[in-house]
Amino acid sequence: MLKKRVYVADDDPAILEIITMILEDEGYEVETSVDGRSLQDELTIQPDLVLLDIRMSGSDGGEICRKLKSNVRTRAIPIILVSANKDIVSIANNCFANDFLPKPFEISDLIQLTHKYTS
Amino acid sequence: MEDTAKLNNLSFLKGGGDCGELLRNFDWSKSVLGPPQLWPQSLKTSVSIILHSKYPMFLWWGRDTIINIHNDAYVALMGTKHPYFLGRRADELWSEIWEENLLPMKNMIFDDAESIYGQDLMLVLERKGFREEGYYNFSYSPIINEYGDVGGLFCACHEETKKVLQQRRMQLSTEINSASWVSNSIAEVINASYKIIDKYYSDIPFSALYILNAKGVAQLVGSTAELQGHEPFDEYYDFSAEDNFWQFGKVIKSRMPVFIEGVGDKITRLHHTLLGDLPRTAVCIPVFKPADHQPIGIMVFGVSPNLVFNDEYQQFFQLIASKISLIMGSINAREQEKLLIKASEENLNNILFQAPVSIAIFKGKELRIELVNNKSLLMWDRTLEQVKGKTFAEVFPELVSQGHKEIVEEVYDRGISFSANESPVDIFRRGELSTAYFNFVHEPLRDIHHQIIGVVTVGFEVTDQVLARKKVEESEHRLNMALDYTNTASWEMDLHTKNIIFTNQMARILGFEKAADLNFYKMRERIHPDDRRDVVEKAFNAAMLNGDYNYDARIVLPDGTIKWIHTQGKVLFDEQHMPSKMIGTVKDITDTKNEQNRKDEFMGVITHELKTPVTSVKAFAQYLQERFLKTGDEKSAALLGKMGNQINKLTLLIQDLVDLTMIEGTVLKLQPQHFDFNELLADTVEELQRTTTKKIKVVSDRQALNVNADRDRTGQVLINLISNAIKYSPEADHLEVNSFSGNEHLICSVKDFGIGIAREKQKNLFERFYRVLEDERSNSFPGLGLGLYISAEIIRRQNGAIWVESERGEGSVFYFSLPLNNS
Repeated sequence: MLKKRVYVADDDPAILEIITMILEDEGYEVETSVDGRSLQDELTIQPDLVLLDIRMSGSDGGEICRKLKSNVRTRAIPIILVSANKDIVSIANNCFANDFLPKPFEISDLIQLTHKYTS
Repeated sequence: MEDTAKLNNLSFLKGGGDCGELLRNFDWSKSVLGPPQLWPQSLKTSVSIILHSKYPMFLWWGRDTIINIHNDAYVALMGTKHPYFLGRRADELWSEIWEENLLPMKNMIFDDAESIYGQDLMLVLERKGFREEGYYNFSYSPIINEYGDVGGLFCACHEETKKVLQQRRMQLSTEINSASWVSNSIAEVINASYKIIDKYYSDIPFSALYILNAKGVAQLVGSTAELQGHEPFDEYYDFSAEDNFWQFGKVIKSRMPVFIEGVGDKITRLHHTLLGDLPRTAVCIPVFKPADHQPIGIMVFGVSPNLVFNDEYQQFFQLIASKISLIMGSINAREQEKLLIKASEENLNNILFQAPVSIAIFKGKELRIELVNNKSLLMWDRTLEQVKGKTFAEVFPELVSQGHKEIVEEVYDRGISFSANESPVDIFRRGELSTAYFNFVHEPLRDIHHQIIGVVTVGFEVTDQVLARKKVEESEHRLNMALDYTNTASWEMDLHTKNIIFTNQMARILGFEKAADLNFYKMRERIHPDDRRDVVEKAFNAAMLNGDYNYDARIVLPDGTIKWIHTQGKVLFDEQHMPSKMIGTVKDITDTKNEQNRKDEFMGVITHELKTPVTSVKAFAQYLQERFLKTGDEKSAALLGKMGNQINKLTLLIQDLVDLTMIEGTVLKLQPQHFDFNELLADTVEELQRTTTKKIKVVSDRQALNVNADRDRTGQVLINLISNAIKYSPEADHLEVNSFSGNEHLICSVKDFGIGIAREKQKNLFERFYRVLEDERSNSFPGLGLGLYISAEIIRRQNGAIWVESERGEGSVFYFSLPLNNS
């Protein structure tokens, strides 16, 4: 069975590392980025799910989400904002993200949300 | 019969009416006069004259035995003595007065042949069916017989009753007039008048005077002497009483005299009467006020039983009544005049001597003090002896050099008054020279020829007021400086008129060129449109209810700049507890707000940056724990579990900081949704039950408690309260959570059986950074002291309330309420 692909953008490499470990254990193929720019530039293979930090050095996850959601080709990709931002709920609403996961998160919540949007 | 008279030579007895006939038929055979045919001619002629006269006349004939012969006109005066005494003895006819009155008179006429004239002699006749008081003139003259001797006496009489009564009544009226001039009061004049009336009992057997007082009650103010002591007249006449014998009501209403019959029943005795008869009739006459002819009283007159009650008599009563009213009127006027003069004299004295201002009169060019009042002496701190008759310069040597003497002299010389307000004067008082402030006027005083004879000075000291005002001005100045410095304006608003007054900082803060451009509505326009209704009007409405006015809002200046203002005020309520005024301050807090925003931003970054490593640490720890569990290294897994707990605590602390930041910056955005509170409570308790060994007992209504609130934030409050209950009751094995619906609100309580909170600490409980425990134990209860503050803010911002009931050592019950939403 083809592995589901999860694209994770976060400017903290440690987060990228642990999320990768967790999701790979769950059988996902994980691609990471420290700014999420690759999502807009060269989207050769569409991911099945995007986990997006909001505040990254040099880019704004909310803005990226809005662009993806306003693009016909990428609109269908589920996007979950994962952030410590206190306004995460309203930002998620405003940029049409499918869901949000406040940091710090429980591993179980991460796994549950990932399953929800990839099955 | 005439033939017989002629035949018998009795032609002199011809005619003469009844008396003539009686004389003709008289049995003269037994009379000393003998048969008429034999009477001397002088007697025959005299009898003939009498019988033919219409005037009352009689004659007496004979020196020793005197026979009376009278005519028809005289019969009325004879009364019952006619006809018996016609042709009989005069001494028997008038036996009752013969010896004393008539015999001397008879002697004078018979012996000395003199004539006598008797004027206004009273005779009581019953010619009209009652005993009538009458007055007559009598002329007695001798009848000379054929021998030149006095053969008899001739009397003609004339009734003068009308004249006599007229004179007597005139006399009464005159006496009352005179009495009025020596009386000083109405009571006195009434008293004097009745003393006079008492003497005229023949015309006025009794009388009483009633005056209507202010309440319309008739009060007895005077009466004839005989009436005092018995009760024909009440002190007050009751208009409404059944027994209205005197019919005053009718008198007042008709404004006409009213006759009262049967007075004998009321007036049963009188001290003075003419003939002992009591009056049968009285007349009640209205007394009018001369000025406007309004009735002011009633005068009652008894009608004499011995006089004919004719027009003259009635007019006499009316004359007396109107005389009394005239006199009363004039006395009133005199009394009022006197009172006015007295009052104005007293006023003048009062003005001068008790006036709350200083009054002094300086006389002459040298300005000698002629008169001062006490206030002046007190104000100057001088005694009367020190000032009376002294010159201005002698009394106030210290004022001469200050130019005050010249001022007063100029008023005297030029006749133009001089006034000054809050004029500083260095005056020597109480042993020292000090500056005092006075308001005063110097007025030229003129005599009746308009010549200036002195100066009147009226003044009062205003030192206290001036000093107080200077202090106020000074403190106002300081306050203004302080307000300026802090960019604060103070204001005061009349809530009815919306008139607003303010200090000059207001215009600057709100960006107006001039303060005059400002009013309530223009100020409102400056408020940022988003804040006008949601912030300012909300705060205003709240102020009308609880008295406190408080808000931060943005204003937009004409150039588009946005500034922040902080308004704080209080509502003043009137006696009816209605808002009447509002006072307060407006402060430019733009800098503070910017600072606050920077701080908020900074705090946002800090918390975000703190959470980032925590997130990865937590995830790593959990991941590791899973791995150890999979490899069977349970000890390592347990250690990592403990680490995870510590990380969770750290996360909560960071969350508190985030919440604080948001609340402080008023950006805590609540996202209300409809949900069942009991469901949230069950979920929360289930979750927390996993973290503690203490039993969390829940008692709640079975029905749903529907609210429109932020579910997560409300859950946060529940977590906070229940966690606290667990934390602060280390010894207890359970705690209780209740929820029930009250009146439009749900109330949730969390009860623990722990250490409790001292009463004095309870009021600060919901303040930020407040921790109940400040002793050594505090270290064993971790936390930043933000939980209750954040909970309270969350509840308050959802229109709920939060409170606590607790005793130290007895445990605590925390309550909060939220509005129910059943729509």
